[in-house]
Amino acid sequence: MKVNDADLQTEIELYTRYLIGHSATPKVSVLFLAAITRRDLEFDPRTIKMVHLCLRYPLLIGLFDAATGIFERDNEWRKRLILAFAILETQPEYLLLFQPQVFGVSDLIKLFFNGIGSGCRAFAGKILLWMI
Amino acid sequence: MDDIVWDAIVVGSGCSGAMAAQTLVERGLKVLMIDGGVKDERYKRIIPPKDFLQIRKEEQEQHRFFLGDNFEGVPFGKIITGEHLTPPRKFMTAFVRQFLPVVSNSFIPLESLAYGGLGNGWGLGCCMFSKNELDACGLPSSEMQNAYEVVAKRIGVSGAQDDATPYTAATLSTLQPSIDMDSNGENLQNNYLKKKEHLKRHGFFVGRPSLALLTQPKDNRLPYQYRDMDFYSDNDKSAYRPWLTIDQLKTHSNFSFIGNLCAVRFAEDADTVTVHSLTLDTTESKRFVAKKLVLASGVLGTSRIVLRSFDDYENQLPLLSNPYSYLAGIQPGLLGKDTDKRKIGFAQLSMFYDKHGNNMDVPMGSCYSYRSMMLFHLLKESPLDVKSAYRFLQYMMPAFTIIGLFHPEKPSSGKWVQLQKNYNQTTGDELHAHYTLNKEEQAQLTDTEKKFSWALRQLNCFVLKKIAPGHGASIHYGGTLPFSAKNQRYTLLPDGKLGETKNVYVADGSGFNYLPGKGITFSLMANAHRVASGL
Ligand SMILES: Cc1cc2nc3c(=O)[nH]c(=O)nc-3n(C[C@H](O)[C@H](O)[C@H](O)COP(=O)(O)OP(=O)(O)OC[C@H]3O[C@@H](n4cnc5c(N)ncnc54)[C@H](O)[C@@H]3O)c2cc1C
Repeated sequence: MKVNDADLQTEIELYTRYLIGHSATPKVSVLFLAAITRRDLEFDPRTIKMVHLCLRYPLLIGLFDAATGIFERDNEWRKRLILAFAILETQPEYLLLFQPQVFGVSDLIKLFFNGIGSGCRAFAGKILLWMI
Repeated sequence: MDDIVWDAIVVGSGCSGAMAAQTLVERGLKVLMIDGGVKDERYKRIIPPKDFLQIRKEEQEQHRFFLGDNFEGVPFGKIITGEHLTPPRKFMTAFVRQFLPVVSNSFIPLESLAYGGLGNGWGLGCCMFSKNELDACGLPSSEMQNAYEVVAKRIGVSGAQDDATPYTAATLSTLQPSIDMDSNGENLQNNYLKKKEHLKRHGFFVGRPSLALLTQPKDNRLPYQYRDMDFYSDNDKSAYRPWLTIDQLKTHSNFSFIGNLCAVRFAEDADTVTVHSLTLDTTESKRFVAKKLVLASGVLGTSRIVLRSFDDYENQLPLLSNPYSYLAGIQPGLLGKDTDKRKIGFAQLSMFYDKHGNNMDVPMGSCYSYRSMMLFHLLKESPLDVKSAYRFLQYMMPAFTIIGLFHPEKPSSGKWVQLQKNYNQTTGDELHAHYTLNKEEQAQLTDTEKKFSWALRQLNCFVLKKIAPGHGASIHYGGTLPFSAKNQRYTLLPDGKLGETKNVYVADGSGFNYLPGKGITFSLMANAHRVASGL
């Protein structure tokens, strides 16, 4: 089983929006396609199922991300997301988004609530992962 | 070249081989170096001589050297030895699986067949062993003192005189000034200065590391440019890499270099030694003859060649490797602060724990800030979703302090290597390694980690996580052919000659009976010079 190229393009577009709130450039798509093949992340059936679910219901990305981050850190789908992240981090146009930032109190509060939100998402995602 | 009888053949172009060869060439001997000789053909040319941030801002092709053409720079899975090498440094391990196979479920070493060996990626930390440590290693201290000076003059060492001086190499007569620190190092140092009497009473001494890094020009090398590309390129040549020496030696008429070779075994007759080897690309056999052979192929590499030459597939040789762990710490005072302009990838401070006050059995912590490694390296370690982890890490990054902790290492029965036949391997055999610490050693490590965590807390640096990358990860090996006064097989005489041979010498760390917790490489180089001087 494999994700076809068109779906891979949608996949990276969704991850890019999810991670940094931008659209994926053509270069990012090309690199993502290459990365998935070269790191052998193509064939795990459970992962492919997760990818297809993300393509149909993009909101699930957040749930899967939180669940795999906490409960399944070696999950193959998570590796795809980390690859997407790494590719984005090396694009000059997104540099500012990845630089260390000066943080104020409001950012800290945001981070705190993010953390709580991600804990809740993790449990919802865990149930989903269990069903797949 | 096959017909020439060389005065000396040196096997290996790493830190040890480079120093041994330079001494032999300077003495006027006709020297041949044979070596794996693997070079980085892919990335070196595409990394521009620019600052890390500038590269990140401007270079469209940066993904090639940050992630690798096969995305091999994105780490998945457990942290193991060699995983942390960036794509431009990964060539160091090319051909190793094929020609230097190791079988072990307890020990993962890093070996190299590269031009310049592991020295292509070493962290440049230079320490001189104390008299007690040299005695325990089996190294003659007066010869070593002189050898340290010779090596420092060749490679260039920078550092500073401070509380850590007895443990570093800061008493060298040719010492260049230390590099600057970034805010991370400065913060730690300022906290130390406030509490140093208290820490010193508990045996902790903190100061600037001595590094084989130039802060003043030397030969055709520039001073350190603070570009923070230290993990990726050697553009300014401020960092000492052994290939600098070999490149230089190649300009001498009494020196020849042949790469693409794996030396397999040696055989002696009345007054010559023949070295048999295989080419890496076609496994074709080649032989070379010399009056003397100097093995400097790394501790494990040398043990293979020696065991094979004695046709020994039974005996176990002792193995030493400094136990190593990382402490990932955070300095709360720096959280959420924008990083300053200065960026340094090398160790900024060294911490030494001299429990007995005798400069013996001293573990060392090397403190690094986390600036030029990218966020994706940390993501897989974080127990959070990628999206939150990324924001969280941006906040944490300026405050991250990584402490690489090296423990001293003594021989014990659970650590050995043995060559076993396996005709499926290119060389017809493989090195089996076993490494377990006894209870006492394990307890000692745990205690040391606790002590360092305590000392770091005194410096307002709080350890969040201890990472044990597994045995072999220190990349400091020794002890397989221990120094001994007796001329017996599998030991080295004090002058480096291999027991029961006539003309075979060993110039790497194989003879060290003990590995201090300080970095060993400066001492490897000094010993290599010492052995080559007496040959
Ligand atoms: C990332 C990293 C950071 C480090 N940081 C530090 C530090 O800060 N301080 C410190 O003290 N040490 C450090 N080290 C360790 C240091 O690199 C080694 O101790 C040192 O390089 C060993 O040098 P060597 O010449 O003895 O062996 P090697 O570097 O292993 O060289 C062996 C040489 O022999 C050749 N060779 C091997 N087998 C054969 C064969 N069969 N035939 C032909 N040629 C052969 C290889 O091509 C190579 O050139 C670090 C290492 C790494 C990887």
